[in-house]
Amino acid sequence: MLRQRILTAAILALLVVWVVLKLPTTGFGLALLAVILPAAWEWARLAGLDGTRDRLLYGGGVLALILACWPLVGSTAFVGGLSATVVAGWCCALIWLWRYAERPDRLSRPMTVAGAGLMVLVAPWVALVALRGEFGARYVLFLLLLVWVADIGAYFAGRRWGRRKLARTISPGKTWEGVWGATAAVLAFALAGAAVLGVGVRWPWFVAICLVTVGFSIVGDLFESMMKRQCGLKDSGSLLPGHGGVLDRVDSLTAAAPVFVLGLYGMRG
Amino acid sequence: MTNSLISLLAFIVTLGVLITVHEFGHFWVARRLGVKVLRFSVGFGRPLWRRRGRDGVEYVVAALPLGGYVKMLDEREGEVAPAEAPRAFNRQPVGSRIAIVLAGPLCNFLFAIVAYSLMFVIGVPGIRPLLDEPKPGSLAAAGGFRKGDLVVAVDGKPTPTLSAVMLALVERAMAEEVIRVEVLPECEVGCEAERAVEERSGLRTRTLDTRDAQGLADMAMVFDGVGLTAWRPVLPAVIGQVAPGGAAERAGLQAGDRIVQAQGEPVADWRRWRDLIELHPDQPFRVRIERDGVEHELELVPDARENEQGRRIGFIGAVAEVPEDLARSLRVVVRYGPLQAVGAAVGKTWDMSLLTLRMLGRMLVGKASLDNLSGPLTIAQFAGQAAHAGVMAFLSMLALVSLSLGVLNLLPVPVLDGGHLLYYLIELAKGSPLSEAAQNLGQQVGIAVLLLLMGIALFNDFSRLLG
Repeated sequence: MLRQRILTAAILALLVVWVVLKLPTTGFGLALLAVILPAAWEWARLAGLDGTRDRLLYGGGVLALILACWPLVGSTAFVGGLSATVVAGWCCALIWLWRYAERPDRLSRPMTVAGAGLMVLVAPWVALVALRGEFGARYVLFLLLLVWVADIGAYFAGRRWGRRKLARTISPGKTWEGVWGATAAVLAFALAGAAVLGVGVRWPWFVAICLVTVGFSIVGDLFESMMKRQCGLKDSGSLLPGHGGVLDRVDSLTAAAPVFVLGLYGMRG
Repeated sequence: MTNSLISLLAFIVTLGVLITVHEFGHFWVARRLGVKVLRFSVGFGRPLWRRRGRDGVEYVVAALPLGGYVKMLDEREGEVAPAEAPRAFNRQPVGSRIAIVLAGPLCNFLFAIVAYSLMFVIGVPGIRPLLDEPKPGSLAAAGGFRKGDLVVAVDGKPTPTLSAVMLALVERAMAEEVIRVEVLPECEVGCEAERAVEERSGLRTRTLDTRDAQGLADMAMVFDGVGLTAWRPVLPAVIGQVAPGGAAERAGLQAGDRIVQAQGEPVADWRRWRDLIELHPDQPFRVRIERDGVEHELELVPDARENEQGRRIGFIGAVAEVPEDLARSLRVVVRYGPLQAVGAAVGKTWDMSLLTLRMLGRMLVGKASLDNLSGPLTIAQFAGQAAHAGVMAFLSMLALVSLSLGVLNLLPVPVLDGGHLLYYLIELAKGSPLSEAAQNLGQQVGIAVLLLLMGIALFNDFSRLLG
């Protein structure tokens, strides 16, 4: 099992690095669809759509929306506006999590979950393609690594010191100590990143953006966990051997990408 | 601090007035048609103030000043006693429902017409549209514009002020035709434009071929875009006003000071003086001035900023003194009689609404940038500036925001009045109401679209404030 897990991860990582660094923005956008559309397929089930036809229709809807957004990804106003909107949406998701943690018996309406899926699926596509187009492949790679570093930091700190549960009813494995571990790891990584990317005198801004981004990535992670829990699922799917579904791999990134892009726009002024 | 306070106050007054006007339209027509109104709320959310009127309506002022609502008796929203059922909104014939929904936006247009009429009766001050040499190689140069041309009309539409010319150019540039501009040449020393127009003597036609031109959608940029420049009179190098805290004040310059020499060179006029300042961002230079007949030496360090081309230039926070007779010859007041004023106001409201609508249309098909979308913060800033600039600017801003609200609310997006209107029109065509499920789906889509639009508008607001 572990062997399979590591092997899958290694192959995926290489593939992702190649896609990010080697493909032009258009190719990157297409490749990203190969992640988002399966994720949409999985999200449809979380929204209570069980039939194949309904799930395909949902995926088709997401695809149509992404294609509609494609000509607009060059517009800072559009990307910034969309990102600002979904960041507000993620803040609402936090409240949603809070209420669920207190009253886990109250289920969300499928329609609302389907709607929230747009925030989880379409917005990160737009944000990542804009990031690739406007700031370059290096920033995309940095964001991916940032989320991974946070995960790793959380994992080790949680295993070593983890005591106080972050959200017992939603994701029992997560602890506050893990969150601090992620913060520490990201702080170091962001400082190094600021130097490598050459952000110059605005590095405090940049580090702050990274920390906020990681905060949202945790919210994204918990949000997907909540949805799965409401449906009584452990993994969102079984597309990736040993890793569960696609959504399980990208849940942190979905919330992180729009926040990061919005922050960079802010930093650029 | 006081500035943002005034902005906030102006913003609240603006929105408060315009929301009340809008909701009053729905309210008044609903009551006229016999529908029972339960609540009239200005603002959303938690009530700050409430009173039950003798008419049985609950009047509320609520915390979130970004809209309002009129709650009517409706069987879809709660139990309705059988005796009252005929007074429920959902029981009304579709014609009545259309009237009630339309009344809100119509009231906004009506308000704009009243505000513009008032302005036209009082008289709108403006600057005469006198032109300087066009930029070489520009559309204006190709179209035959000359120094001293006084613009009289754009494509047949009279343009008594500079801003009227700019507005007309923005409008006509969208038509993608060659624009014909009527001018009276050689007006630097003043000429009797009114008589020339009446007798149609001495007028010349210049053209602007804007069919392939870009970036003419903004009034502030349109002159630059076609290469026109407003006439800049030769002004003496005398300080008129000094901005508090600016480089001029720090150096000790005062109103009335005449600039004699800078860096040992004589300064002939204000333009020469400004060029010198622009060349010295953050660099000290010596200035000799004359004050009350006595000459003084002082050192000036201009502040630095970036100009439109991204070059660093200096500025000192002082404006030139404009001799009174010159100011008088450049100023113009457009004033109408009461009846004419209403006519002109209707025309202006129509023009501006159409402009707003076309702008939105062009953004939708990607021909105009989404950067042109502004939200509440820009309105607040704009309202604050207008409040500072005086009653007239404030009225004009109120009218503009009011008619924009009217146009926006008529867009066929569910949740907005236009969305309801769309449902009712479908009902008219189909003969039966749209299914509840379809209406709900529309509602969801509408909310998503509105949230996104608001996000973009707010993002633009912040970019403008910070950038």
